[in-house]
Amino acid sequence: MKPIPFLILLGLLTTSWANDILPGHDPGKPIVLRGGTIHPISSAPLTDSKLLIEAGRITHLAPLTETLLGEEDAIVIDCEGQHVYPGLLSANGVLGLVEINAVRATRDLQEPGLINPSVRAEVAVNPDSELLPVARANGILTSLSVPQGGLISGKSALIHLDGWTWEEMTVRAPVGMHLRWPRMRHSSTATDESRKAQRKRWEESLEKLDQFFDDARAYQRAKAAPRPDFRSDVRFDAMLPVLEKRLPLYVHALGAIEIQKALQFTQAQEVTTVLVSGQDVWRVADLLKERDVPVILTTVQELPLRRWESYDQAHRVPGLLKQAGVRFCIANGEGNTSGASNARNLPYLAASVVNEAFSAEDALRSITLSAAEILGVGDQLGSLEPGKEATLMITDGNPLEITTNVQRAFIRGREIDLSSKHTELYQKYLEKQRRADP
Amino acid sequence: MSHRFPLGKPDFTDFEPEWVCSPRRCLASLKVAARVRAVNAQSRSFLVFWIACLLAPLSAAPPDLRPQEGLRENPSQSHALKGARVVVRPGDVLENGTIIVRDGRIEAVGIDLPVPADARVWNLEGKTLYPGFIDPYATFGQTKAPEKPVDAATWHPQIHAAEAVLDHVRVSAEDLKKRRELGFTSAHLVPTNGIFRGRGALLQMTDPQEPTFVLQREVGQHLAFVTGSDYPKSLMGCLALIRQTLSDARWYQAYRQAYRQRRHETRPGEREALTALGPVVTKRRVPAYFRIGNEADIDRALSLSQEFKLRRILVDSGHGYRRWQRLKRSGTDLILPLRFPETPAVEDPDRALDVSLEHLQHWEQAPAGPALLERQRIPFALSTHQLDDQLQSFWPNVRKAVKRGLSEEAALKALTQHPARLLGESERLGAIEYGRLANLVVAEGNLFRDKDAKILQVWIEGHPWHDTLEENTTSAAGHWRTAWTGVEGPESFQLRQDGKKLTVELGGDETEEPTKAEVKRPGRNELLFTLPATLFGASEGKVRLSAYQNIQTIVGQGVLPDGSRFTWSARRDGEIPITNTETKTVEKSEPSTAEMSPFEQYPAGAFPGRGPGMNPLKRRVFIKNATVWTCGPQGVLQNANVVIDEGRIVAVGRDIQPSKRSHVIDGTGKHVTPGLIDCHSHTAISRGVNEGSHAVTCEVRIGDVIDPTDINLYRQLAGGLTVANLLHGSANPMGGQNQVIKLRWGQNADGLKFKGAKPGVKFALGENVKQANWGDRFTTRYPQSRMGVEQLMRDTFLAAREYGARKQLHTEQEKAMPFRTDYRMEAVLEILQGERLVHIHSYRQDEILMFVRLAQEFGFTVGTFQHVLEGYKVPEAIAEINAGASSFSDWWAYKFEVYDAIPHNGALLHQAGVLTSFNSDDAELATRLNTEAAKAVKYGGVPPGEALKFVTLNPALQLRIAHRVGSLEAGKDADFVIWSGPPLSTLSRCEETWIEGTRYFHQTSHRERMVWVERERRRLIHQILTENDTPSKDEKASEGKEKEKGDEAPMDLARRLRLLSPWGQYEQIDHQALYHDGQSLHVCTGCYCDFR
Repeated sequence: MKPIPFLILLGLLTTSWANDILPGHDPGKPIVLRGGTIHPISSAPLTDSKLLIEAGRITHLAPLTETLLGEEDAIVIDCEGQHVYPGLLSANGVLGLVEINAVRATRDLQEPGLINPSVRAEVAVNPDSELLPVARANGILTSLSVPQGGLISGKSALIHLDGWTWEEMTVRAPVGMHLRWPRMRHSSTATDESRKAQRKRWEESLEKLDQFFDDARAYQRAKAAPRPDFRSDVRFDAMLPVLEKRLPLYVHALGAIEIQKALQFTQAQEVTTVLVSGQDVWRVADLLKERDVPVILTTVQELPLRRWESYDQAHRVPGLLKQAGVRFCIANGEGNTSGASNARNLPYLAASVVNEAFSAEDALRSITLSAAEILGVGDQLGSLEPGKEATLMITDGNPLEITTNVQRAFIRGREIDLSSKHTELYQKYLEKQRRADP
Repeated sequence: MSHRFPLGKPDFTDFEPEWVCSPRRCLASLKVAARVRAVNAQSRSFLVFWIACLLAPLSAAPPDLRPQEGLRENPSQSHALKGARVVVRPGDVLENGTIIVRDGRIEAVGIDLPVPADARVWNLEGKTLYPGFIDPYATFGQTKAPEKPVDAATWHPQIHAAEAVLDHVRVSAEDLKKRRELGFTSAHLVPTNGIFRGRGALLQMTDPQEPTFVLQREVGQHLAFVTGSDYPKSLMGCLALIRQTLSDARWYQAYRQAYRQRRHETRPGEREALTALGPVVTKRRVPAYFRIGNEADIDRALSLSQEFKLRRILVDSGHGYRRWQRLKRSGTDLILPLRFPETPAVEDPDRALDVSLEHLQHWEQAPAGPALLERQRIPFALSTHQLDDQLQSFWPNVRKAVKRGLSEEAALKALTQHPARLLGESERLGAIEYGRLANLVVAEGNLFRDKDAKILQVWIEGHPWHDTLEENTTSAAGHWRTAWTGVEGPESFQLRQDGKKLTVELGGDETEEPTKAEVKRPGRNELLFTLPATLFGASEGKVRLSAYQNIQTIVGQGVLPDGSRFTWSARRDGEIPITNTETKTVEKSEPSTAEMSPFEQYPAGAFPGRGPGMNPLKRRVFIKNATVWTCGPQGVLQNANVVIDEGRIVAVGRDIQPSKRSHVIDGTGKHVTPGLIDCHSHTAISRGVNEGSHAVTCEVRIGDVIDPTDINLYRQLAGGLTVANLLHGSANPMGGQNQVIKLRWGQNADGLKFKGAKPGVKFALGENVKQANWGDRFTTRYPQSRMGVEQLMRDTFLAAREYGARKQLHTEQEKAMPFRTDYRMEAVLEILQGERLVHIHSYRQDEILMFVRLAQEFGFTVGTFQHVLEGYKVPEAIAEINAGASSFSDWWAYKFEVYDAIPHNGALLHQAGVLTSFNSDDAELATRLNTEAAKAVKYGGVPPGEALKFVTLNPALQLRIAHRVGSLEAGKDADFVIWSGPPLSTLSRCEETWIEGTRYFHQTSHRERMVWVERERRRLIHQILTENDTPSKDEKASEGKEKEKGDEAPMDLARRLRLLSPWGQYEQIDHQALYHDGQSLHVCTGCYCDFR
């Protein structure tokens, strides 16, 4: 069927800090996925249908009975009993930028200093990271890699989790300029001194931020009519697309107070805003709706921010946002359960928010089409529609369920290898057990 | 030289030249007896009074031994305080009483007592006299000497048991004055450094130079649960150190005694700290004062006291009222700080979100705390402790407490009788009675209710050390009868005092308004006023009058409009009560029954687990027609019923019937599973998950530091969790003792414990214990490699084995010297003897295999390999010693030793015959262990019924509690969960969680509770906004935003928290307080902190 046994063998021969799984390759002819249930996301599920992939794109979605042009010499994949979904899109994370968090040499996450708008994530993405095959084996085919730390961390890049080089992998870059709003909340058990110190920190940060935006505008004017002694500054240069509303400002702010202040700031600065946030977003839903600020929810499987909030506060936010008409998607958080090493758990984040106000279909959309729309690639990714990229997967069930497995997956019409360091080691030690217990 | 106290001007005018009643002479004339009323008017006391008179010494004040310089001064040492309302003791009042003071003691108390000839008479009409107030726990003064060097005898820098506070604290006259002005005549000055802090001192608030200054040089033994930068770094380490030290003190006493007879034995050495603790641990002569850090410390102090049979006094943090039930049961003496919470910052609605409900509640309830304790008959004393720079708020706070229902009598008791008793001074302090020290407070107005009440005098051992009597001079108010010389004036006038305003009134009746004029008081006792000349027979103009008032008499002169002078005098013949219309605030006691209910709920805040009508035990429960995942031999049953009685499962099956009067749960469409069990948790651990100082700390006990207020317990219940194995962290190779709990939310620490669970200990291998990721500073603690880890463990086991042998030998010897118990070795010995399980944190296959061999060599039992992420590489070794494996379902790559971790680990181990569980090690992950189990299905194909056992039966077996929990089988505890759908589905939700027949989580009730929470927050915030105009905490913080150097930039903070140095968080754990929001704990043990 696929050259998997060969790949496993290859895996067994070497151990390294880089995966040695071959990227997908262009089959050179069309592919037809037939039967099963096709979930376009943008519309209701289809049965007795087929999907035609040509040159990396979906060209047709049609009933089985219909004959499609170009179908005759296509590779046919029978999906009977299975399900076809668009690839899942993780709208937040550090995939490719970090291998092992505790090992400093493997971290390419942030630069020193508070203001680093010029850095771009894509140039540090390691295509051979062992983390990428692990994520895509569970259907995460596209991911946003975001620089970390500071006030302005840099520019994110959207990458496909397959390719020989970062250039090949990059779907879109830059996607956004990332601003991290300083924490303005105090823990209820904080001491007076720590409150004071924290307040001082945020006030100083915000002063710096205001100053930087002012300076950037002055630079913008200076550059428009440069004097002979004009000197360039890569930080300010990086800000020009933001000031000119060509690049959205992704503001990371968690608590209600920070969200409020951040939104006031972006309004005053007249920049396009995307909010990256979590449990408290619903408290400002009306404002978000009014200003049409889309939200990337990154703290979905998290405890409530406050002791008095409901245990499932984070899970109720999507329903509340939907009700308020706010555009949003669900994305990976940080840490061991859904951060870079476990980006594969994205669909379970989405599953955890399903309730009477938010359906399983809503949940799926929030990690596919909604994410693509907010990241500005809604015309290419996120749903199964003719004209879009053939970045999709075949599963044996609803991807929101843990027990469901991804059977096959395609990125830009190229079938990818679903093996990983994990499956290789699994096979190796299965073999050990087999030999011990013949 | 000898009189530094300010002597007021005594009034000799009202002198009664009668003979004097002194105890020396009282036998001479028994007729006096008829005039002296023993204050409590009981015949027995009366008798005591007279016997005491016979035995009384000539002088009680401590003599001044200093040689006389110059002429002697011998003012009278006798005083008569007359006319006051004398509060002899709480609830016992003499109106218009007289107190005779001689030589610093009270010589007589009564009504109409004869005044001794040599006595100065103080007219205190209209005043109230209280026994001097006693501060039972005061911190003031400055440390004057550096701490003593630590020698081998005292060994630990936090043990100062032998030190007396006066040896290292310098008290200034100013410190004493501040307390005197509040009415305190005595105070227990306490030491404030260390864990064992040493002895306090009972001081009279006179002057450090005075012979009267010290009442008791050594009072009590002071303890506090504090941690430092070395052992103990954690609360549990602190408790372990206290336990070992108390045990050592006992041993040392016994050993020294034995050594006196047998000088050829090993010398015990001179250990002054242990000597000092002798009377604390034996015969209960010296009480232990426990400084309570938070309300959970109350239970800790009580159980330590019980363990070592200490006489204990708890010094509350201000939250103790929440634990009144426990306090009542224990019959403990309590010292309350009179500091009430500051007004929470709620003005900004967004910021108000971060003010927790229990904080709001505390703001409302804390002032009613003393009243609650009174109602519950829990004895307490009030102290200035914690007031620090806010001493002046002491009386406002007393009045606040009284306003909120504390009776005046109880308040007075808490300032006099109770502290006197606690300090062993019931005979000398605390009441105004014959023979006691003449410590007295003279007050004007009602100190307990009237905010304008004043303390005019404070007498300490017979001297008025604080005296503002004259400044607040006796009011001139009253009816005055005049005598005019050389002029015809009105026969009488009245002076009325209203606040500070004094008015003279003449004439007037029903028909006519009186003539009024304001009286000015330009100087002490001076009166100055003008009256219309018509009253003096002249036709027009004013008459100017000036006078000197001396209590009952006025002498003065006047000038008529024509300039002629005259003299006049007046004598008071009637009283007019002083009024106070300007600032009069009638503060009536508010009924506080409405406030009772929050006190009944525990823990405070949004989701209490215990309270009236909450979580009642259902004797009989019947679940009908559900899909039951028994996790036992019955497997998964469709359309099955479960019968529960008295907290136990009676039967599970299809055709079983309910008992009568059962609580019926319709399980149609629902799934029922056993309560989930988390085999690796750090939830509900107070102030330090790691005792990460020493490499071996097996003496520390998680069970000592359970935090029953941790909201994550409730959140995890809402995810179906019923049992958790609370483990020490992995910062050292041989860590502390674990504690298995049931999530009986609302119970105290003890009530959470899973009684009968086999004791265990946490060990650890690999990167954490060799400090691989702690930063470059940490390179010296042994071990620094996996090689050393093995050697350290081997050496410790050998040490314990030898310890055990010595102990054995000891019991066999006939005349053995007392044996010193070493709690660290005891714990390791228990492991070797098979009484304690080892839970071994491990990752790599090499270390797993090493530990298997070590276990085989020393023959101990491994309960679980924890994490064991490379267990799949050596399952046969784990199976060989029948150890369990408790793993993450899918975590990997957060540090180098987990780079080979794979999610198939669980399945591979399981399939190789290893008893396998999945755990959380994370407060949030513990809220959804059911879907973690599903990962064993996904990765490796474990059947769903078996996979669910990864979080139910298997951890139960690993923890040796499977006879009680882990499956739904007849005879086991009724710990179960009702799910909306299949338990392994990410779309199913926990609807109810039951433990032993009690429902601890119910989704529907939770939603109702949320409505209450919102309402309660709104109510309290509204109340704060309407009641309070003072700037709140947050605003104040912003006021002083001066620039400080070296402050961290946000990025550095974020870095430290998340990325570069996960070990920095390790320090933060120490500050984990009760009632945290659940978030900070998550950070501490959570994502980026790799002490897992």
